[in-house]
Amino acid sequence: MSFESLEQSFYTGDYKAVIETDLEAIADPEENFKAQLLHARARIADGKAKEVSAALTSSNDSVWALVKVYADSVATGVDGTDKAVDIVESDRDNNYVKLLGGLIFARAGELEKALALLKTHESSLECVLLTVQILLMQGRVEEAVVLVNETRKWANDHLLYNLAEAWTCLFQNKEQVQKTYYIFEELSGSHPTARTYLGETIAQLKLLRFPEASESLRQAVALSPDSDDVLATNIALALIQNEDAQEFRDNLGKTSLPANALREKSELFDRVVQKYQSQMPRA
Amino acid sequence: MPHVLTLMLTKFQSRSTTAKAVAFHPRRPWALCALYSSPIQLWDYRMGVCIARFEGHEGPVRCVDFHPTQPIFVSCGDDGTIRIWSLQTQKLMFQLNGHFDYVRTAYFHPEMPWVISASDDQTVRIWNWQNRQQLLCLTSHSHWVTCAQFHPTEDLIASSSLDCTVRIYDISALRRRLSAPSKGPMEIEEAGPDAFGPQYDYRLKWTLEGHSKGVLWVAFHPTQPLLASASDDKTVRLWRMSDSRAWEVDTLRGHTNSVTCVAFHLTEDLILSCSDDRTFRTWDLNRRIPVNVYKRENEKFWNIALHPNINLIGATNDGGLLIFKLARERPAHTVSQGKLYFATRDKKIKIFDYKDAVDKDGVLSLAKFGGNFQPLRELSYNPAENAVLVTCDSDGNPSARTRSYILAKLPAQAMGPVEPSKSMEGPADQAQFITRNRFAVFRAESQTIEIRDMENSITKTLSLPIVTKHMLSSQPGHVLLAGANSVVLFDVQQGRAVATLRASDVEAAVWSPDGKYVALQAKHKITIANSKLEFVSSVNDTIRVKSVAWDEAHTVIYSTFNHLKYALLNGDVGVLKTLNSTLYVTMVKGNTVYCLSRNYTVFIIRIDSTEYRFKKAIINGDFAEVARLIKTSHLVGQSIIAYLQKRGYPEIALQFVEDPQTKFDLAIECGDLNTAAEQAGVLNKPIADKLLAAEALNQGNHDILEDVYQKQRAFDKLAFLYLITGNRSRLQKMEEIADARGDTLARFQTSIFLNSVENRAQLLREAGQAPLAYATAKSNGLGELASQIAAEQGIDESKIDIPVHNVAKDNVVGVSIEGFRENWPLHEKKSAEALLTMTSTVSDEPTEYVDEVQSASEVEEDGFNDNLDALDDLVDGFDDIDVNDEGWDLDVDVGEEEADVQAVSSTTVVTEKERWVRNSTVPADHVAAGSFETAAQLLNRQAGIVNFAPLKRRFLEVYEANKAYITGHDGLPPLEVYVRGNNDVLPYIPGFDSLGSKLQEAYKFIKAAKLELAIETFREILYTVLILSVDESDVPECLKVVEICRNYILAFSIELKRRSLPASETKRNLELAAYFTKPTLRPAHAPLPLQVALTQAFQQQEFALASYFAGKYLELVKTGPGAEKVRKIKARCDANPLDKVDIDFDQFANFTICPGTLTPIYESEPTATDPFTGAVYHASEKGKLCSISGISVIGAAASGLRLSN
Repeated sequence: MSFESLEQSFYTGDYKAVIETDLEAIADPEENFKAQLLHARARIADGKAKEVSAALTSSNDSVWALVKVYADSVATGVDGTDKAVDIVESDRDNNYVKLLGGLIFARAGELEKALALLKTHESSLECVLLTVQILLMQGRVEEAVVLVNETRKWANDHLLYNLAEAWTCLFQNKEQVQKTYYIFEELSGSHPTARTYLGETIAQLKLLRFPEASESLRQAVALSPDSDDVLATNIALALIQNEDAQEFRDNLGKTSLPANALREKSELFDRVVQKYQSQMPRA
Repeated sequence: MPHVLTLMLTKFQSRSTTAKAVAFHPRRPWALCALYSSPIQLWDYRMGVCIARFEGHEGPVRCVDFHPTQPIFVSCGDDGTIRIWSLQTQKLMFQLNGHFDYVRTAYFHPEMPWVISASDDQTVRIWNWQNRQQLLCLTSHSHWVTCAQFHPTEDLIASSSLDCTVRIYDISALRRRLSAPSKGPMEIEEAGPDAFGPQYDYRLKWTLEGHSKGVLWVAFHPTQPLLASASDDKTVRLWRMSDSRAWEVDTLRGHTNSVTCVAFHLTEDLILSCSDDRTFRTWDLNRRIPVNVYKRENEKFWNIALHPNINLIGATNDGGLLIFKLARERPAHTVSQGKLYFATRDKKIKIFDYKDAVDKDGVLSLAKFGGNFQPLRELSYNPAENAVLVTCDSDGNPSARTRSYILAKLPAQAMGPVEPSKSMEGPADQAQFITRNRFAVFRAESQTIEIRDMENSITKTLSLPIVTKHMLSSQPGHVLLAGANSVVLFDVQQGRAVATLRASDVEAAVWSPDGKYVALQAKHKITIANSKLEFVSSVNDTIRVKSVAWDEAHTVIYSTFNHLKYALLNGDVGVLKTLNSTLYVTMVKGNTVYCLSRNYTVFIIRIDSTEYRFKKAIINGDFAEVARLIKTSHLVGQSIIAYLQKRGYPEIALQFVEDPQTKFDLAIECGDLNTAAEQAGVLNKPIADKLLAAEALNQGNHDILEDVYQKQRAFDKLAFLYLITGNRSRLQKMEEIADARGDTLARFQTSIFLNSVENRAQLLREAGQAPLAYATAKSNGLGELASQIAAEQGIDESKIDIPVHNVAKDNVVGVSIEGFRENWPLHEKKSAEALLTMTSTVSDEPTEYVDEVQSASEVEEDGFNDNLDALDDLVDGFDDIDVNDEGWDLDVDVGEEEADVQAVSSTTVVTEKERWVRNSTVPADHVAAGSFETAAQLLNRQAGIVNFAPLKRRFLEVYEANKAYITGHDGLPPLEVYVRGNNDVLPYIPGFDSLGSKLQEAYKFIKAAKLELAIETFREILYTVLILSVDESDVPECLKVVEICRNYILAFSIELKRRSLPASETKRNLELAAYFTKPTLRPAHAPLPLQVALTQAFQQQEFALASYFAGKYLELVKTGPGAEKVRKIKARCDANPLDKVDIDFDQFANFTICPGTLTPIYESEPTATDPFTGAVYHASEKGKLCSISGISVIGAAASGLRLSN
C-alpha cells in the first residue's frame, strides 16, 4: 500500500487497513515516518494505546514522546497537557509536534491552546484539518470557512482538504451542504467506510432527504454497528421518521458525547419541572 | 417538412411563385425578391413584412441588385430591359435599352456608376446609369450569356455562357479612358461609345474551358484570385488566376442536376451552390469536399445572394425567398466570479475580466474539437476546477451531424492559447457543470441526463420528467429543463422535478447574481421567476430577444435584434439604446453594460439607467431616490408622466409637466389646488373652472372656490359660500351687487343670509307683496315700517295679530363662526413636496446629509442620555432601599459566566444553537437548542403550561432529532451537526409529517375500544403539536389537530367516567351518556356516542330521550343492520314517548360540556378557557389543570402558542 492510500485509509477511519499495512514497503523516509505515526495513531484508536505507549519507553524524539503522552492519555484518561507543553516548547518548528500537541490539548479541552499551537504550522494540511475541527467545535464557522478558503489555494484537492471543506460546509447553508454530500459520496465510493457513509448520511439529513439518508446510514451501520456517532445519528433519523429510537439510545456508549448531552438535558429537564412545580394548581 | 430546410437557421421565408433572384440591402434589413411572374418584392426580413412591390417588367425578372450606397436598385428581365428603380419614391426611374433578348443578370459596380448586364443576345454590356449610356458591349461569347460580374476590387469582369466557357476580361482601359485627366468623361461620352471602338476598352484575358455543358453562373472570390462557376454539367468548378494564366483547380461533384448558382462565403472558407436538384450545398473551399446538403422536397433553387455585412444568406427557389444563417453566431460564453469566459470563432477560449476591463489573449485553444465549420455552441465554467465544458457540432449533413462536449482544464497561467493538456470528450446535446465536481450531459434523443464526474465517468443516468428541448443552468445540484410548454426545476441529486413553470419554448435561463430570480428567455418573451420557479412577471417583445442579463438590483437588461432594453420585476419595460449590430449582454454594472459582439469582442456600453432606476424607486416607494433622480437628471417626456399617473403618483408627475392642460389634470388628480388654480387661469376654460371648483369644495378651500365663483359670476353660490364661511362683509357686498344688478331674487336671498329684515320687508313691499312685507316687518319688531306698510294698504293694524320677536338687530344666525379667515382642510392633499422635499435636501448634498444624520444621532443620544439620567435617578432612589435585601438578590454567578466566555473565544461567537434561541419565539426551536429553561418559559407564557413532566419525552426527542454526529479526529469527540428545517436557519422539528398517522393510530384504539390508550395517544399528539415549528401555512392544520384531539379526549373522558359509575347512579349515567354525544367527532365515529346514549336511555326506559337519540342516529346512519335495529327501537319508543327521570340534558338548548365538571355550560354562563387546547370550562374551574391536556392551567394569562416564526 502506498503512503497516500494509507493516509486515506486513516482519515476515512479504516484503522484496520492502516494497522495491517506493511510499513517496510514505504521507501521514502519522510513518508515512512508519517506512515509510522499514522500507524501508531491507528493502533491507539483501535484500543491498543497501552501497547503503543509501552513500545515507546525510551524515545528522545519529541514527536514520539508526544505520541506516548497521547497514548497514555487515551489509555488512562489522564490529560497529558503538562508533559506535552514541555515537549512542544522544546521543538517549536516541527509540524508533527504541533499536530500531536494540538491533538493532546484539544483532547484535554484546552482548545485555545491547541489553536495557538496549530496556527504556527507550515503548509501542514493535517494541522489545518485539526484546526478546522476545533473551530467548528467552538461554533466558529466563519473562521473555519476563511481558513478552508485560504487552504484551497495550495491544497490541490487533497483528501484532507476535502474533509476540511466537507466538515465546514456542513455548518453552512444547504447549497454548501450539497458540496459536503458530493465529497462524501465520492469518498464512500472509493473508501466505503462507516465514516464516509456517515458523512454522506449527515449531508443527506441536512438536505432533508430522509429516505436517502436512511439508505447510506444503513451502510454505515453495517460496517460499524457500535459506533457512537452512527448510533446517535441513527437516533435523530429514527425520530425524524417517527420510528422508535430507544434501541440506539440503549447501545450508545455511556461516556460518548451524545449520551452525555442527553443525560445532561434530561437532568436539566427535571430541574425545569421542579421550577414550575410551585405554579402547579393543587389537585 | 417540405418548406423548411432542415437544421438551417431560417430567419425569414416568403411564400410565392418562383423567385428568380434575391439581393440584400447593405444597411437596412431589406431584401429584394425578383419573381418569375414579373413583380419585384421588397421585404423587411426582420419584421417579416413586404414593404413594397415594383411592377413594370413585362415577363419574368431575372436579377436584382441594390446599389451599395445610393437609394436605388437595378433589375432586368425577359423583356430585354434593365430598369433602375428608386427606393425613395418606390417608382421606376428609367430603363436602359439595348439588349434584344432576355437579360439574365444586371449588377452595379462597387464604386463606378456602372451596371453590367448579360443577355441571351450573346453580349455582355456595361452601362453608365448616371447618364444612361451604354459604355461597352462585349461580344465574344458564342451562345447566350448567363451571368456577368464585376470583380469586387480589380478592373476585371467575368461572364459565363451556354457556350460552355467562362471568360475573363480586363477593363482597366475603360476606367483609364473615363478617368483620364486630359479628356473628361463627359467629353468622351459625348463622343459616343464607339469613338475609339470597344476593342480598346477591354481585353479578353482568359477563356476558361472545362465544363462539358453550358455554364449558368460565375462568381469571383471576395479576396482571393479565385472563381467559381456553375454548370448544366452538374458540377461546380473552381478556377484560380495569376497575372499570367488561369486554370481549373478542382471540380465539385455532387449535384444531381444543373447547378444554377454558385457563391463564395464572405467570411468562411466555404463555397455555396444551389441546383435544379432541389438542394442547397456547401463545400469546403480548401479541401473541396462537401460540407452540408440542405434538401427541399419540390422546389428547385435558382439564386444565392450574401449579405455584404451580416452573416446572412438569401436563396430563391420555386417557393419563394429564403433567408438563413448556416450556424449560430452567438458566441459561447459564461460569466463566473466577475469574469467572462467566451469562445472565439477560431475556438479559442478567452477571458475578459470585468474588474479591469481587460480582454486577455486566448488561454486555451480547442481548434481540434468539433467540425471545422461549426462554432463552439455552449460553454460552462467551473471555478473550483478552473475547467471549461464546451459543446460543438461535427461537420456533415445536418441529419448525420453529431454534437459532443469537451471537458478541459484552463491553464493556471495565461501564456497565449495552448492546446488543453488533458481533455475528455463525449457525445452530448448540452453539457454544463452542476456542482464543483460534477457535470450534467443532456442527450435529447434518449431524453436523459448523465451525471459525470471530473474524470468523465458516468455516476448516474437520469430520465427526465418532461420531453425536454433544452437543459438550462440552475442553482447548484439542479438544472432547468425546458420543454415545449413548461420549464421544470430538476433536482439532479434526487432525480426529481422540484417545481414547474408554464413557459413556452424557453431557450435560455439567466440567473440574477444573487440567485433569487431567473429570467427565462424565449424567442419573443422573457419570463421572470423566483428561485422556486414561481412566476413573477413576463415581458413580450415583437423583436427577437437575443440575450438577457441582470444588474445587481434585479433589473433585467436584455438585447433584441436592434435594441437594448430593460425590464423590471413587475413587468415594466423600456428601451435603453438602439443597437447597430446584434450584441449579447453578458454583464451589467450600474450604468455600464458589457456585451459580446458576433465578432467576439467585448463592447462596453454606457446606458442612462435613470429611467428604470426612477421607475424602480417609484415602485418601491423610495422617494428619496425619486427626489435625487429628479434633481440630478433630466427626466422628461410624456412616457414618464403617463407612467407616474398609471402608478398612482400624479403629484410626482406634476414635476415634469409643462403643458397646462396636462398639468391641470394632474393637479386636480392629486388635489394640488394651487397648481390647478394657476393652470386653470392659464387655460381659461369653463370646464376647468368647474373641475377646480368641485375639487376646492371637496377640500374645503374656500379661497380658491371664491375666486372661481367670482370668475364664473356664480353670485348665488358665492353668496352662500360667504354665508357658510361667515364672511359678513363680503355678504353685504353681495347685497350691494344684487341691488346693482337689480336681481330681486338675489337681493331677497342675501337679505335672508344677512338677516337684513328691513331690506327684505322693503323688497317685499316693492314687489307688491304687502301682506308678506308687513308680516316680515311686524314679526321682526320693525313696528314703524309695519305701520307704514299697513297704512299704505289702508288696513287697520289693530286687526292683524302677529307675534313680534325683535331680531332685526341680531347677528346673522349661524354666522358667529368666522370660518372665512382660514380654509377648512377637509381633504388631505397628497403633496409631491411632502414626499420629495423631506428627502431632497438630503440627497442634494451628501455632506449635508452626513451632518444631518450626525445631528440626528446627537439628538437621539441626548434623549438617550435623558433616559439614562432618569435611570440614574431611579437607581439613586433605590439606594435608600437595602439592595442586599434577599428579595432583590440576583441569583447569578457572574464569575462562572465570565470564565465560560473566555474559554470559548476572544471574539464573540454565536453558535448555531444560540442563534436558534435568539431568532425564534417558537418553543420548539428553544427545545431543539437545548435551552429548556427558555422553552419552558415560552410555553408557560404562550400556552399556560405548568405541568412539564409529561413533556419530557417530547422535549428530549425534539432535542435529539436534529443532532447528528460526524466523526472527526481520532481521540477527539465528534462534531455535533445540526439538521435545519426548510428555511435553512432554524432547527428541523420532527412530528408534523406524522400527525396524520398518529391520529389514525388513535382512531384504531377507539375502534378497538381501548379508550384509555386512545386518550393517551391523543394527548401525545397534543404534546407533539405543542412543541412544533411549521411553515406559516401549516399552522391552521396544527390548530385543527388540536381541536380534534380536544373533542376526542373530552368525548371519551365522558364515556370512561360513565363506565366507572356505580350502577346506582342512573341519572348521572344517563346524563353522561347524553353528554357523550355533544363533542364533534369524525363522521366514522359520530354514531358511536349516539348508540351508547340510545342504549342507556332505552334500558332506563327513557323513551322520549331514546327516541331523540335514535332519530339523531338515523340521520347519520341511514341503512344497514344497525339502522334497522335502531328504527325498530325508535318505533317502540315513539309509541310511549315518556321519560322517567328528569336529567340535566336539554336537547333543544345550545350548550357545551365542561371537561372539568362534565356538566353542561349554557350560553350565558361565565366560562374560562384553556390557553393551550382552547377547551371551555365553567368559570369555577379557572386555575385548575386542564383535564384535556393535563399540562396547562385553565384561564391562565397566555399570549397564544407560536408554531411558526
